[in-house]
Amino acid sequence: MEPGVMEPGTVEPGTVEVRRVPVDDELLVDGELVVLRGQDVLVLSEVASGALDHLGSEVWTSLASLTDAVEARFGLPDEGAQAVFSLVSDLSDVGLVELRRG
Amino acid sequence: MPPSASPTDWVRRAVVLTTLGVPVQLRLSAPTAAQADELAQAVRRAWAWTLIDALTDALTEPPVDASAGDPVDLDVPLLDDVETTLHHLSSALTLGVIERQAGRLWMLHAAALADPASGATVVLVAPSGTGKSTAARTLARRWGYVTDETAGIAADGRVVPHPKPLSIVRPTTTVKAQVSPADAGLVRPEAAPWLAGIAIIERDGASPVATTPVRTAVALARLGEQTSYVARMERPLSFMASLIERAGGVRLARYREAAELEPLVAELMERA
Repeated sequence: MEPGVMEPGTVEPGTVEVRRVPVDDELLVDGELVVLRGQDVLVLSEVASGALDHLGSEVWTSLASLTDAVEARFGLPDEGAQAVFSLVSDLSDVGLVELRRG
Repeated sequence: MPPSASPTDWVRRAVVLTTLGVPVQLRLSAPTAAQADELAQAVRRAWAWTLIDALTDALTEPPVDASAGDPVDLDVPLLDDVETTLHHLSSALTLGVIERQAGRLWMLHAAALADPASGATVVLVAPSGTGKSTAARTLARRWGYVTDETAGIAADGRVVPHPKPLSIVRPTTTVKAQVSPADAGLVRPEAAPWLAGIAIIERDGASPVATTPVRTAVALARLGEQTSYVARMERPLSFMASLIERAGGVRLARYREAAELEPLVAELMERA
């Protein structure tokens, strides 16, 4: 983990930035994204899949930009930014994204 | 196996076999000729359905993958007694052949049963210690015994047999007895096994058996957990999804007694 990258579960919204972590394999099955990371096979929700679509593994994306992208694609409730932050926190917990303070 | 080195003056015997598509050479050893003969006889009996006359037999058979042709070579010194030695051998041999096939086969923790005539094979997936051996021991009195431990499936749908001895708990000892499939009264498949159906089995007391289809994405996650060396496969998710499609999808079967799975197995075989 690079300096500045936050441990899963230790982040708060604010000026958070996000990037994907490379996976070992992925497959879209009937609209659901399935990913293999190490020995773990994970099935992602449509919104989580869409969020990952918007992220790269080389560049960091701001949480605000990601929130806009997810909102444009799926629509979001009033607490959208918090919902996206919660989503990327979950993805961070399973090792699919990394978070840092921008 | 525990310590593989045995004293140089021990008497040695060799047994060769092929299982999970991998040739295996066992170098047995014991303090006396009589003990070495007894060990060799017990190993040959327990692994009877895998024996070959010589390693060249296995190496000239059509291999699942040519690079799997190098034999696994295991030293098998006599431990406390023959039963204990067989017990440790079963684990070591299975681990050895699974490692050799890593990246070549989809290796599921599963029991597998084949229609003896057609080879249509149903794979019953379950974590260790949750009913695979019991299911195999019960259902392979009607259908052919392919494995009670690891079903190795090739990309073209062939199921590679691993007909290891059954590990059976005996009340008088903590070491599980290693009973040959023939001694357990199981049916030996005649036709080459091929994938006809996949079910995840959960022995949770449901009676009658409750079966539900599992959508493919979830099946990949559930079966991925029960796959050896999943990350060593090439494009593992596509590999597995293709075979799931070939099998007509995956069922989840919750059950109480292994015998109650018979209608499900029959249905999956007949549908294929």
